Amino acid sequence: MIRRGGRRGGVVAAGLLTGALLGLGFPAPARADPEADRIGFRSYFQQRFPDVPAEAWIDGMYAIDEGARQQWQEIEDFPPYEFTVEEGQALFQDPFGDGRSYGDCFPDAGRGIRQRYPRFDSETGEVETLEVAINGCRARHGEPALSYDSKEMLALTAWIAYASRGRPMAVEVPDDARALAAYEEGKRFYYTKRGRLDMACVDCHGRYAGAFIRGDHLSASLGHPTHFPVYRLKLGGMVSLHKRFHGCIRDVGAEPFDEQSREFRRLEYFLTYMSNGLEANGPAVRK
Amino acid sequence: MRDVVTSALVLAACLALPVARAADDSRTPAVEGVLAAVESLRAQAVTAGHEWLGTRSLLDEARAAAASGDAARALELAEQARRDCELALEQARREEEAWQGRVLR
Amino acid sequence: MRLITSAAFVAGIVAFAPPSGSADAPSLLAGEVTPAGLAQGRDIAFDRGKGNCLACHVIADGQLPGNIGPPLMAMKLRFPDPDRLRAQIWDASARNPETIMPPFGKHRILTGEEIDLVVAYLYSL
Repeated sequence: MIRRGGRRGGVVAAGLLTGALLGLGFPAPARADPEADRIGFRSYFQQRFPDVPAEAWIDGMYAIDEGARQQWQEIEDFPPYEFTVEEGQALFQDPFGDGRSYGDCFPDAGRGIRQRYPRFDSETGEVETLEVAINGCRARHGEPALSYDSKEMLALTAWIAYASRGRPMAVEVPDDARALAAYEEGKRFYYTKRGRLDMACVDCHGRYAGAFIRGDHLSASLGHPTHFPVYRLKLGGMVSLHKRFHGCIRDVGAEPFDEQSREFRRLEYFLTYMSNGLEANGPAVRK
Repeated sequence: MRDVVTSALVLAACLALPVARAADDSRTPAVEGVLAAVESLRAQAVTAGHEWLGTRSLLDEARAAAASGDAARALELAEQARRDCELALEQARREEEAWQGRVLR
Repeated sequence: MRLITSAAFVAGIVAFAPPSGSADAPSLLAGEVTPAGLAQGRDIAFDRGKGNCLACHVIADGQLPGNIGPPLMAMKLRFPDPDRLRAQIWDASARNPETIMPPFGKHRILTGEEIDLVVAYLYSL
């Protein structure tokens, strides 16, 4: 949890005093305000890239690299994830051992649901990603959990993403102290420098988004979570958002967290909230 | 409290070190104590969410060196791991507040 | 308490493993460095697993440089004092806490000797 510094304590104390003087009783202490954060986050990129509308960032660096965009567009016309999506659809409809299927766990036969994940699960008090929800569904129907980097899991999430294309991301942080705390932890993770290289997510994908690292553009965090899983040309296969987190954390010289660890789920919660309003457009092809 | 225990362990280990060197016996409490103390520092870094890449393998190598009787090598590796853990913990303490200055707006 | 821990460690271990390369090690001036030393410095600067300076900086004939930091040219003009350049590589955050540049010396990404060689190489640019 965030340790409150003396200065902040002073502010809170002053607030309490003011509240008491005004006869309002005890005001709530300064608390997370995801919507204010989201507006600030978007406006940062708007100021840095006045010619790039927020909606364009769902295509990552192709939002700003016209030359690379054309090549990429050609690949997207015959996407290498096509079979994965079909496989995912078949898996989604396949009956479990008990005769039920994923359709019993997810509304609308799994169409148009991606944009609501991750969601806060008020029963467990934890952030539930789509992957966790899929395994939760399996558990309820007596099926073993899928490994997070299995072909099956990636196919299912690819299909659900595909069947949700065009829906604006709509992650909710309910008015629940646990949800706000989870969001705040994800936010803190994003802004925290870590590892031997002493770098934060925001260093590369915020402040230096658009710059070149070696021969590659650094992409912006805005729009990152809208298009996963991705087919990475470099690896010739599908990659989840958490796998990408894992790689980034390693690259800065820190011990990475596991896919679907509490840390990464919270980071995804924060990041996806920042992209609320942008279209879900997964899966996608990336370098 | 854990710090106190750690320090006591380390102090004990260090006091015993000259003996360990003379006897050149890697299985003395000295090497074991140093390894245990560094492991506890690593655990603190993990708890803080700031463990660095490579610390685990340094400690694994140190344990392997100790097991094979190479106390000097074990202590050298443990010292590297200790310095990384101290730096990681320093980073964690700094970041408790510093991250807030980076919020995009 | 941590101070005591550290002190005890140092007292116990220093005899076994003298620390390599510290912040106040003497820096090398370009003039004192052999061509072989300059080549070594260049190798360290370009090596992706070492300095990897090209990730962020344009350097002379380096291929596919990044542009996160300024081009590394005319270094003698920009850093008349080589110790300042060395300090920048050792821990850029000492002067600018929000820098994205990794603290190569402080966080032991490079040894003191490696940083000396990189400084000598950069000074030759």
